[in-house]
Amino acid sequence: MKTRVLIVDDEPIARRGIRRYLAEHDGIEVVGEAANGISAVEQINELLPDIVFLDVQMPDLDGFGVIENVEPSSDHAPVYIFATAHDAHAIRAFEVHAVDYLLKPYDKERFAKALVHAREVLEQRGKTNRDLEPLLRSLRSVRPLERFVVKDKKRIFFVPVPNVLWIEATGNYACIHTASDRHLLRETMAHLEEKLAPHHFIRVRKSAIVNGACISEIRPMFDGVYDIVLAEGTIVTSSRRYAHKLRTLLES
Amino acid sequence: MILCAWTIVGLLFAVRHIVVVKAQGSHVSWAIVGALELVYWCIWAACTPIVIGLAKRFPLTGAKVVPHVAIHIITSLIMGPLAAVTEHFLSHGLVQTVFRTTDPAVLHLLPPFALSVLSMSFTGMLTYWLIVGLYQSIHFYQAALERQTIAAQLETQLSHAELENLKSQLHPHFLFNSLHTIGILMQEDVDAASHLLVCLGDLLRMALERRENEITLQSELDFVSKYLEIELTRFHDRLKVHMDVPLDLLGVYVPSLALQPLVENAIKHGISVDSASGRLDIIAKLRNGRVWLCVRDDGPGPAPASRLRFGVGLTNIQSRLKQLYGDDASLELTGGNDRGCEAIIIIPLRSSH
Repeated sequence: MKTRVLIVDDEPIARRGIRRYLAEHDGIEVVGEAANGISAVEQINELLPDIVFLDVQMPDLDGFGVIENVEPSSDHAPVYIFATAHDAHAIRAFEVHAVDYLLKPYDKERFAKALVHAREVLEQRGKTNRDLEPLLRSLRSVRPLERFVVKDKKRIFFVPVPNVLWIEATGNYACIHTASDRHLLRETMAHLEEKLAPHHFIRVRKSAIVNGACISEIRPMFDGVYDIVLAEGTIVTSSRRYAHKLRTLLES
Repeated sequence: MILCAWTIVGLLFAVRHIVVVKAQGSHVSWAIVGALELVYWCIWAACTPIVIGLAKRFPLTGAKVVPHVAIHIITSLIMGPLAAVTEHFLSHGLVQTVFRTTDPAVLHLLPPFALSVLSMSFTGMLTYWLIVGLYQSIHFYQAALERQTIAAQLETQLSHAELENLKSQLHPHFLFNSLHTIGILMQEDVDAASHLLVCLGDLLRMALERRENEITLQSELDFVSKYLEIELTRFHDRLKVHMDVPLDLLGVYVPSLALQPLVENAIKHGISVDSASGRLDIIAKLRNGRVWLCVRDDGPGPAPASRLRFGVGLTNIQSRLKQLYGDDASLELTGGNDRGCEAIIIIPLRSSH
């Protein structure tokens, strides 16, 4: 069975280069090419490639955003080989989490080394489903999330983080509220809280996170419970358990 | 240290004195001769910290050299005789109490009060000036060493600034990506690869050799064009550049590296983050007698809720505008109505330096 490869890079010449280098190896089938992050997410979900060559810097959605938004697949997660020209944070994270990566410019020798290693990992299937979450988390601490990727039936689009007023937990989903719209994300509140901390979003109760920049008024109710009035009028009630987070915000 | 130095000097003089006295055929013991000589140098060893203190307080440099020299003349005139008197009584005391001798040959070595004080005062004053002079030369030497160190540090800082400058003109990300493009292109189309290599070489040379604060708009646009040529190869069909610059404006002076960072910004934040966009406008105009430069992209533009912030590149341009033109120049960044972003520099019109 051939190894199915997806090539993701926003520069056509770089994609051609990968194809050229791949042609020197047997048993490889290039199943697709993507020039941006969204197309990469769609193709990974659809084509279920074995190996993805993933450029870190890309329009719309960068390489890490791609991984965050790919639908989790327990039996067919691809092996990623990252490529970057110059990104100190990313390189440090790759090193720490022992992830395969290629530094541009690279030649066919280095390319072959990365490919051979990825194929070895593929053969020992157990290692394929390596959790990339720690890598993403360490990168998020230096590079805060800029926008949410929202998928509905027909399309994928972005919601910039500053546009989000508050987020509400609904079952297995999180509902993000903007001034004009609501979108469902498949995310846990704990996860979102962690990702959004650098943007001054605060967890005010188990099922709600509020954008600190959009709070217009905080009304003490009773016994450590507050009514938080947002810029466009929505009132979100905090719970006593999370009151300390609200107080930290007020003090800062 | 001081004591050590003076002991060596004193011993040298003591040996000299002993040799002279012995050569004269005197039978006086060498210990007494040596001790008498050492008395003088011990006094000056004790005085040295005071003299150095005075030399420190009233240095023989700077604007107040004349009054300082006067002070040292006066203090040497006081300390010289004072030391001489002290020496006279100490020597006599030494002979009478320690050596307990009335040997006329020994007493012969001790001149009468007036003669001793007069001659030793002169030696004392000379010693005083010797100490001041020595201190001053050590001080000069240390200052020279320090200046050398500072000069070396400044040089390092300067080359560091040059490197930072180069980095701000050509981002490593751009550089390495361009090298990768050349590497791949080499295997497909040697001519195209070498053309790109030459472009990158030109760009590097321009960035490295650029020294003036202001250059003609023509030179700045040359730099931008080289940069864009590489980006066009990399982004292929995704980037369309429109330049609208009247010929008669090409000779006006603009701050060097004013446009290139704006173009880079537009590509980085406008065009490369959004696959639907790709138009870049570079416009120069004369408006109300001032030069108006604009770089516009059709990217997604700034998010409505977020404020436009100046990054390192823009802050740099702004501070350089301030240095060059004071309040007579401006840099503005505005979002388009729906999409896009526009950076505008307005500077006074200058056709020569």
